[in-house]
Amino acid sequence: MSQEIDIKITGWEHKGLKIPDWKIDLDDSKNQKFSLILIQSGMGKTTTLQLLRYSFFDYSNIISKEDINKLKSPNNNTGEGDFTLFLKINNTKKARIEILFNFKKLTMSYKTTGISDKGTVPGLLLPDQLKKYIDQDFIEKAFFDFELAELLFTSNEAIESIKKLCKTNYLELMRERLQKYLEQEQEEKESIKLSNIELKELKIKRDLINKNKKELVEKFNKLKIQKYNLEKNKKDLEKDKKKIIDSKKEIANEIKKVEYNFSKAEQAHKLAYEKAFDELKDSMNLHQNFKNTLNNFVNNLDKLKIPKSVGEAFFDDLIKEPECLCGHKMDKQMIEQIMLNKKNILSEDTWLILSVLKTKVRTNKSKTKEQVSETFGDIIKKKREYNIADLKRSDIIDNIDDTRLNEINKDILEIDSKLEEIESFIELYNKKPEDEDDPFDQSFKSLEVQLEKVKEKITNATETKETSDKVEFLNTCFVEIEKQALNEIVKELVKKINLQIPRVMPDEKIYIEDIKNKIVLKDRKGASRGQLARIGYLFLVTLLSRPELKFPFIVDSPVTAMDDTSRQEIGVTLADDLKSQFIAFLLTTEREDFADTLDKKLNENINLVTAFSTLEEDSQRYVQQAKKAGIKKNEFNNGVVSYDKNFFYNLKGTRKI
Amino acid sequence: MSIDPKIYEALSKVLKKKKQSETLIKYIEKLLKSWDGGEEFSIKEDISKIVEEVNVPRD
Repeated sequence: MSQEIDIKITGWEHKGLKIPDWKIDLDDSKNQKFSLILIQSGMGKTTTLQLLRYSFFDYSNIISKEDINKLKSPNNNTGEGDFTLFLKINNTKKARIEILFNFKKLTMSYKTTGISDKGTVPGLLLPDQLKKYIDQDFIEKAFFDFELAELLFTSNEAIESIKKLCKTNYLELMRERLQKYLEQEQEEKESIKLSNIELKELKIKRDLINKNKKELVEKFNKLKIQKYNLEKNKKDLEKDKKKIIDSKKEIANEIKKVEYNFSKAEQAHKLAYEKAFDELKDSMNLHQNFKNTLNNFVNNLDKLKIPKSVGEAFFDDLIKEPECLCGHKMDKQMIEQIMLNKKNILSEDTWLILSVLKTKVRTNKSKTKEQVSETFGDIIKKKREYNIADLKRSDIIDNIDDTRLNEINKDILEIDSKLEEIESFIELYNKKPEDEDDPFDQSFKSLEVQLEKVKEKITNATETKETSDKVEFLNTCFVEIEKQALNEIVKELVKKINLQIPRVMPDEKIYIEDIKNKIVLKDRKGASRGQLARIGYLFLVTLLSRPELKFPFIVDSPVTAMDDTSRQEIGVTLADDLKSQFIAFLLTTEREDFADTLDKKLNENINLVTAFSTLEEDSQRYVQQAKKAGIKKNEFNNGVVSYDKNFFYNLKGTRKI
Repeated sequence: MSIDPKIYEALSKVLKKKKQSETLIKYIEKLLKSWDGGEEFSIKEDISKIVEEVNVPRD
C-alpha cells in the first residue's frame, strides 16, 4: 500500500553565490503552510528559485558550465560556493540537501543528510516515496515563474506539460526504443544487395538526419518560447514608449501653457513697475507733510501779482488815463507809485510755471496711504508670480529627457532583428519538402521524407522487412494509444478545473472548452491577464496534485499582472485549496490585495519575510528603512533578512532593473 | 513522476481492438511500469519480446 509523503521546506542558506550570503528560516512551529518572501528585482529571486529546483533533482550532469558560472558571486575569491536546503519530511524527520559549487572547474555536486541511516552521504538522496514523483519536468512546473503563465494559452506549453507530467511521453520514447531495436538488428546483418560501404553510407546518413531532426525540433521549441518572450518584451516596451510619447504631448501642451503664463506674469510685473513709477512721479503721494507744504506754497503764490506782460501794459496804459480805476485823478504822485508797484509783477516764465503748478496742486487727487502701499505691494506680488511662472517653465523644459526613449527604441530594434531571425527559421522549418537530398535541410518535413527514404533503403538492403513492419505497426499503435490516453486525461482535467470555476471565479465564470495544444476557453476568444492567471493556477495545481504527495508549490512573481480582484481571488483560492506548502517570491508591488488577503484568510498564520541585498547602489534606502524599523542589519555581510510583519508591509521602493 | 492510469487503459483498449494478445499488453505494461520506477529498458531483451509477440495484421 502506498504511503503519503509530505515535504516541507523550512529554510535555506548560501555562501559565495551571486545572491547575498543570508539564511532564510521558514517558521513552521504553528504548522504555517504559506510563506511570502519579499525580494526586490535583481536581488536574487530567480536565482533562489533556480537553486531550489537544483535541490530536488540531480542537475550535476545536465547543467551547463555557463549556468554554473552565472551563479558565482563577483566577490567570490575562494572559487567555491554552496547552497543548503533544510527540509522536514512528514512533519517529523529533518533533512538537509547541500549543493557544492566549484567555480574553478565549473562543476556542482551534492551532499544529503537525514535521509539515509548513514548520516551525511555524497550525492542527492531523496526519500524513496518521493523518487517516483520527482523528475526534471515536475520540478520545472512545481517551481514556477508565473510570468510565463500566459504560455499555457498561447503555445503548446499546456499539452506539453500534460504529456510530461502524466507520462504520455513514455509512449513517444517507446517508439524511439523500437526504432533503436530495428537499427540494432540491421546493424548485425550484412547486405547482399549493397556493398558494405554503400550500406554504411546509408546508415551514416540516417543517423545524421536523425541527429539534425532532433536538434532542429529542440531549436524550434526553444525559439518558440524565445519568440513569445521577445514579443511580450516588445509589447511592454511599446507600452512604455507610448507612455513617454503621450507624456511628451502633454509636455508640449504644458510648455504652451507655462510659456503663456510666463509672458502674462512678465507683462503684469512690468505694468506694476510702471504704475509705481507713475505714483512716484506724483510727489504729493509720498507724504502728507509734503502735500501740506505744497498746498501752502500754492496759497502763497496766489498772493503774488498778475503776469508781467499783462501787468506792464496795463499799468502803462493806466498812467496815461486821466483818472485811475478807482476814480481818483491821475496825478504825478499816483503815477510814480504805480511805476514803483509795477516792479512787483512776476516774470512771464515764472508765472507760467507757477500757474501750471498751482493748477496741478489744486486739482491733484492724491492716493491714500493704503493705495500707495498696495501699488508697491503689487510689485512684489507680480515679481513672485513671475518667478513661479519662470520656475514652472524651467521644470517642464528640464523634464524633456530622451534617454529612456532612445534606449527603448534601441531595444525594440534589437528585438525586431532577433524576431526576424526566428521567423525566418520558423518559415524554413515549416517549408514543404522539395525534391532535395540534404541531411542538413532546415525543413522538418524534408528531413522526415529523407529519413523515410533512407530507412526503406536500409530495410531492403538488410532484408529486415518483417521486423520493420512490426516496428511500424507498433509505432502506429503507440501513436493511437497516446492520442486516446491524452484525450481521456484532458477530458478529466478539464472537468476537474471547470468544477472549481464557480468558486474561484464567482463573478465572471470562464470555463475551459478543451486543451488541444493550448488551453481553449469556452464561448470566448480571450480573457484578462488576471483571469488567465487564475485559470493557469487551477490548471497547474490540478495537474500537479497527486493524492499521495504534498510537495511545495513555489512561485516567482505570483500576481504581477493581476488586478486587485484577481489578486484577492487567487489569495482565497490558494488558502482554501492548496494542501501543500506554498512559497512565493514577491515584489513590493504584489503585496497589496494578495499578501493581505492571504494573511487575513489564514488568520495571520503565515511567514512574511523581507530580504534585500546591501551591496546594490540603491540599497541604502532599504537600509535606512530597516534602521528606522529597528531591524537587525548586521547579521549577514551583504544582506538583510527580516521577519517583521510591519516591515514587510511598509518597505517602500521598487527597483527597475 | 507516476504514469497516468489512463495510459494503461488506452493501451489495453487500442491493442485489443487491433487484435493483439494479452501477453503483448502485459509486456508493454511491465516495461512502462519498470521505466516509471526509474529502471532502464533493455532494448535487446525487453523490446525483442514485444516485437516477437506483436502480430501485424495482413490487411
